[in-house]
Amino acid sequence: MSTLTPGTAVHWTDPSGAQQGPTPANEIVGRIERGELSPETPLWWPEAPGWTPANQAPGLAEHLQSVAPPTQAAPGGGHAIDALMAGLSDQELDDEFLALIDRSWDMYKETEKAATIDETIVGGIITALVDSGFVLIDIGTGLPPGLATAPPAGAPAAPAAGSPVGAAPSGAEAGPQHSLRFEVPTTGARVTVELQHLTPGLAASKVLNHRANLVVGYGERLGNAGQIGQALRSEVASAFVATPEPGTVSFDADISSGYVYARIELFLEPDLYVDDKLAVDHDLLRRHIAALVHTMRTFVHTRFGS
Amino acid sequence: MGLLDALNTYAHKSELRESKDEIVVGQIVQGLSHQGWPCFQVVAHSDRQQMGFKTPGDPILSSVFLVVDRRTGSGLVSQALGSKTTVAIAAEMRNKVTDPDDLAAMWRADLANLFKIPVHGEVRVNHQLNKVIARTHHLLDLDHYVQGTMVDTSQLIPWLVDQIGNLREHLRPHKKG
Repeated sequence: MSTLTPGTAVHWTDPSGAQQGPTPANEIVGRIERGELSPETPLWWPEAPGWTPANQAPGLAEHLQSVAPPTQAAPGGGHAIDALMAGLSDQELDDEFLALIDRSWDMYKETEKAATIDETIVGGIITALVDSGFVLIDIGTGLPPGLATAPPAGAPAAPAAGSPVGAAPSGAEAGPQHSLRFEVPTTGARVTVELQHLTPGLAASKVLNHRANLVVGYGERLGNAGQIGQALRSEVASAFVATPEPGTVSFDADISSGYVYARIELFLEPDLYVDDKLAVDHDLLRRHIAALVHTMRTFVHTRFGS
Repeated sequence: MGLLDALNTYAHKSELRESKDEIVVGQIVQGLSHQGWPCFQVVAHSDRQQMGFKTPGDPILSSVFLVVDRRTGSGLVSQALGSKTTVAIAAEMRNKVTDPDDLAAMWRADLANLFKIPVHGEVRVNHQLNKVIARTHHLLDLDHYVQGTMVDTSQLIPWLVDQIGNLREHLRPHKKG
């Protein structure tokens, strides 16, 4: 069988079996290399003994040894999957998979923290005050603004609507309001806490940082109706303060149980107290709550001489 | 003692009597926090409080949830009947990856649970994709822990930790990795 030269005109059959050509041999080689024809494409030329696969034709075989057969879809996409994973060991692929899952869990926990940091602070406040000898006597979870409900019976009123201290920053929807009331069983002294997360959700907390509104009150039980009336008049006066700023102290009374309260409203940075694993810095939280309670108690004693 | 003072005293006692479940909730939050389990969920409604705790460092559990649900009425009814309260405890375990075999187990467990009659103290295991949750519930009398101004939950917290330990053992076979 004679050796083919680049210019030898050959006849060939296409994948449908139709005869084509004559075509220069070098053009057939180019089409095979581009994957347009199979290396086993049947060829015939005048000196050939019969139809010969291109990859066995003298003069072409050495050119076509490195050409892979045309890609053919295997069940399950075998060749494509092999190509996708080329150069990567099973161990490397497993490691990458686990890293992606781990990172997803990290992001999930970040979202979880953004959604629950206010309740974590509530848990920290309960722990700090119960550690100190208070008992929790009332707890309530209000609905977000717009669906708000009344605070627990006997608890001081919620911050005035529209208050800059109590309002969520522009663009953020505040979370539910948590109301707590504690009492020292032996003396009856009370502490009230209202907490509202102003930047719930991951986006708000990323842009604005976590921010909460905190109202802490200290109350004592008075038997003197005149003093309770005085506190109630102060409460009415407080209602006329349209835009209280941080540091404003107000007085309040619960006539049914005879308590008067001094209360202060301020912003709180939850991130100061709660780490990424939701562990609480109880010492710092207790220190800050103690400072607020101490000052409110001074106001009650100064105002009502109890 | 004036009339107002007497009324105030009555109102104060009534408040404390109706606060037994809240008092116990406060003690639970404090007690489990000292176990190293920070409270990250507090949802309170009248007579029903739900708490969630993270369990960092636990080889099996990711979170624990408790629901304190006061079953008896308030005021004089409660005074007469005591303070029966259901405490539901759920321990949650998370697997990082769920595969089809987990889903098959989930369906089998859910089907089996359909035919179980709720009994105090029984443990149920539920699969929810990446989570597997073991639950139990018990009936407690809050009067054992709160009497007037006396509060003593020194037995309650170890008991709760034991219950959670029992749930942990039910979850252990399902832990992967």
